Amino acid sequence: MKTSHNAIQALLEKYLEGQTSLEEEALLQRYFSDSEEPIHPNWEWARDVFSYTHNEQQFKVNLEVQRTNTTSGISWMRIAASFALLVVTTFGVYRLQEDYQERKMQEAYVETKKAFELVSKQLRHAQEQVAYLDYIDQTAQKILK
Amino acid sequence: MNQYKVIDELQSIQSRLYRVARRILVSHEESQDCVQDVMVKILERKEIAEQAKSIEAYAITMVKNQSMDRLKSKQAGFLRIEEGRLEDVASAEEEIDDSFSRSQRLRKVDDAVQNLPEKQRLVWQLRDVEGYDFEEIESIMDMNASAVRVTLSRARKAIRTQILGEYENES
Repeated sequence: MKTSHNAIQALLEKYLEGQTSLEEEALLQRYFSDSEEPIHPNWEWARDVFSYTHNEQQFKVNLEVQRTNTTSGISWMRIAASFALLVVTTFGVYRLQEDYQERKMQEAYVETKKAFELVSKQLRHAQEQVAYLDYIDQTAQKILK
Repeated sequence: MNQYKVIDELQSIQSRLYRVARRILVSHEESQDCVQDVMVKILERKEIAEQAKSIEAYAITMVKNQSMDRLKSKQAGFLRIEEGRLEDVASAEEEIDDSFSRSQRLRKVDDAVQNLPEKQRLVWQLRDVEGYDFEEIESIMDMNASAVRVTLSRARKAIRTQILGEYENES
């Protein structure tokens, strides 16, 4: 790669002012981190800086991205969900049963009331009949007198 | 975006996250801890991954904020941060008998970077090592365009000045 001395010098000035583009910086890095040959003494600092950044970019770590945490998160949610479902169903069944019992009681009440009404009706009827008997009795006594 | 995609994305940017954290925290353990923590947070809160248009920008911002917070609490506790500084890069090439060996030169640059104030250090790291464009750095650092350029320029000049000073001490 033959980039002229002047061009490099201009780029370095621009670099120090924070005015270089990413492409220009990449060019500087390639120029300085590649060169094994002796470099212009004025540029030694640049060689060191760009060798350093080049070196840093290669630095890798391998950390565990915690899958376990996320799966435990899911299973935790599952447990919570099934618990909620259990609560809802239990409550639902209970409510249903309560409803059923209430309905049954209502029915029983109605039935009993009906039965009582029937009894009282019969009773009234019987009273009327008895009253009638009374009437017969009176007539009978009139006749006997 | 599903969980596995998020995990893949995090896996692919974790070195970057680590390097940024390390630039502030210096200690390997703490940087690692910080990055793990951020990754777990992003995975736990699904809506982050769904809403953030770029997980990378979001994660870097989180790492930056958390490193700064950790650093503050560390300094508040009067703890010195002097643990392993770039040992990994330097030690391998240590004893090579170059008159002015490569590892020594790299170490000098590292010292110069670490001597910068935190903001300059971070902006420099984001640009010169991680290669982010200016818009990304503005949003990560919550700075405007000209402030980013000025900070970056100061950082670059300060590094150069310190290295030149070192050369003079050598000769």
